[in-house]
Amino acid sequence: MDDRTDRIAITLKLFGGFRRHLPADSEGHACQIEVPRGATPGHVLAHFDIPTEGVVVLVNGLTSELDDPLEAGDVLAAFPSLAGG
Amino acid sequence: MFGWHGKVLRVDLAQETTRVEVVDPQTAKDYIGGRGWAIKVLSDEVDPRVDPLSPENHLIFTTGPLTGTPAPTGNRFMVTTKAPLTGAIACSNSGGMYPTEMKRTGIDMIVLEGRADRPVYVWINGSEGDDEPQVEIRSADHLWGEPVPETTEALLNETDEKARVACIGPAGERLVKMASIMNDKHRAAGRSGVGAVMGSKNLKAVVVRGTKKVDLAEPDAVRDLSRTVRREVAADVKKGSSLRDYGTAYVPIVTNELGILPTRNFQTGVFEGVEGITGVVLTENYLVRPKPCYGCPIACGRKTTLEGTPYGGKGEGPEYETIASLGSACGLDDLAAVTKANYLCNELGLDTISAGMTIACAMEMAEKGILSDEEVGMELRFGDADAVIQLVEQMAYREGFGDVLAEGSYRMAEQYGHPELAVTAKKQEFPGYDPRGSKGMGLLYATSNYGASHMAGDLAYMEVFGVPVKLDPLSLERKPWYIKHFEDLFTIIDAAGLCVFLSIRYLCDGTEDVMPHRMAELLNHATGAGYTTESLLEAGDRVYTLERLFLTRAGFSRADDTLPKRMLEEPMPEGPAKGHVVELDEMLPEFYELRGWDEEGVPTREKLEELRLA
Repeated sequence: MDDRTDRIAITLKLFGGFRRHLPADSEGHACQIEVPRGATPGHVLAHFDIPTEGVVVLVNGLTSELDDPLEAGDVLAAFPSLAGG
Repeated sequence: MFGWHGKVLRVDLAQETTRVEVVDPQTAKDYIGGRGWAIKVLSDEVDPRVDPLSPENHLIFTTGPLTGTPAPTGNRFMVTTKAPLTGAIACSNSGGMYPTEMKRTGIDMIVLEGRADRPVYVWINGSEGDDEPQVEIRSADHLWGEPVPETTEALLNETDEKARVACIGPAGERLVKMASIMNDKHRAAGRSGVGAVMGSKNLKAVVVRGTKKVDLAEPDAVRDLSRTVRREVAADVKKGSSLRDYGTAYVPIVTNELGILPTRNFQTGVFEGVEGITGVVLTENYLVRPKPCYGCPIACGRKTTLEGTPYGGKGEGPEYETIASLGSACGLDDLAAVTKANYLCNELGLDTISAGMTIACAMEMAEKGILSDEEVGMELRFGDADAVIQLVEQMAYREGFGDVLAEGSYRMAEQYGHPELAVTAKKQEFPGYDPRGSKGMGLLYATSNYGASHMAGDLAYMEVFGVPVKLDPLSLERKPWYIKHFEDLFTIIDAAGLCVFLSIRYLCDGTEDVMPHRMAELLNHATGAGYTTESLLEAGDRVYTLERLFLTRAGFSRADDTLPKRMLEEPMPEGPAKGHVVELDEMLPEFYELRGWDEEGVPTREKLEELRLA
């Protein structure tokens, strides 16, 4: 099977204290990445060395779980749930 | 007493007399302090139907039992009065250094009554070692008309350079409906027009200086628990603190992602220019350093500068709410311009939220042809930075069209026959969360005792920020329960003299039910009053219900617990909340029942008896 069909393109946005985990060439708060088909927000955060505890995850702006599979074109946003610190 | 000094300073501005009263210990405990003590006095002594700008209204400054103690973020005070913007209650909360200094004068609460016949300021000096502070009412003739920074400097020169100042600017003097009271130059008791009440009393400032430490019931226990909390905050900050790095300015990018960032007077919740007004832009371009309030381990405050930009100047801010109101709500994506408008609001004494949202409303009215360029004196369009800056100044001085803006968006829009374009609840402008995409906030705005306010029970903690757990902001499930609970929780936090930024996360239990176990523990160590979590929540309920009773007696009813047509009938046009409105009627009956109010929103006799308010 062609490798490319096993991968999907998504947009990753990291806000607040997580922004420092974005690749250096990112614009603003977002970058375009390719992930294996079937990848979840949990997989993506782990890949970027972001702890998965105390995290808010949004997919296309909607409340999402760490183990919901991502689809091509999704916008995954994450930020620390640390309004107090 | 412990935690509390148990003392209230009464200042009669008409007679120019002052006296200190002692607080009954049971009342102290039942109403906690801060906002709780204030509503008790307001309710006992002020006719709820009184004109807020008449001498019969009281202006009350209160600290809480944890203000000025080692408790982290125990640095807040509240300003309570009948509000000119809403006709309801104002409870405007502020931090900085002033609240701690006020507590150190040896008094917990200042009740300012009547109206002086000339401009005055009150000088409260509790640094002489006497049991009670020395209090003077002095002429402020030479300060009337002066902006906040000049007033503050002059007062420090003529009292004590170590004193702290809370004062009004030109907006408060001119009875602008959204005038703030500014303390430590840059911190605002902002909302509902508390500055106009101060102006109506001819009171320019209240200056405090004190060296009295607060006696604590168990000082070691307060210290130990405070250390534990500080360690927890420090561990989180190390992981990557959004608030330390970016201030609350990290929030626009978050609310925009949820599709609830107020944009062009709430015509949408998605702002194409959001990257221009984020905390990253602030930190990289204008931040001098984070500036904490007294004893705060978070340091969300921003000391900033615009030197090197076309605007110039330096000051503090902007915070999220200011960016949402003077920025995206006005279609403005230039953070330097937003910051300049923020500086002007601080210097002239205006609430940034209501100021920005009122300009946003005027911009929509102008674009729809309801306001002509001639009436406004300029071509007013969304995104015009110069117009925003110019109108802030005009509003504060009531010059030109600023005189109309100074009445707030509801009265302005009503005057031109389009009240539906004012995004207000009880005539107070919305904060920065469009409730069509955060349903709990919709119920809060509609029912809050202050009119639209996030600080009355900020469920954005859970609907937006996932603290302590994330709720679906588009769901109605349990929202009436959460709003009732958060209203009681926030009442406790305000009354205790704490800041919400730390309290919800670190002083509650981290479960979905957010119970204030640690807050009860901390209050007991400080006061020895013997609260349980349940009795503390009951005290919160008591204070909230007494506030509601004041509103009922002032003539508010179920008809006033509502939202503008835009929120109830116009679906969000785009973004994650697309198609949503606020289903207020589905939440309101359950909310009333949980609060112990009848179908008209009036507290029942049984509820009043249960809370010992009958």
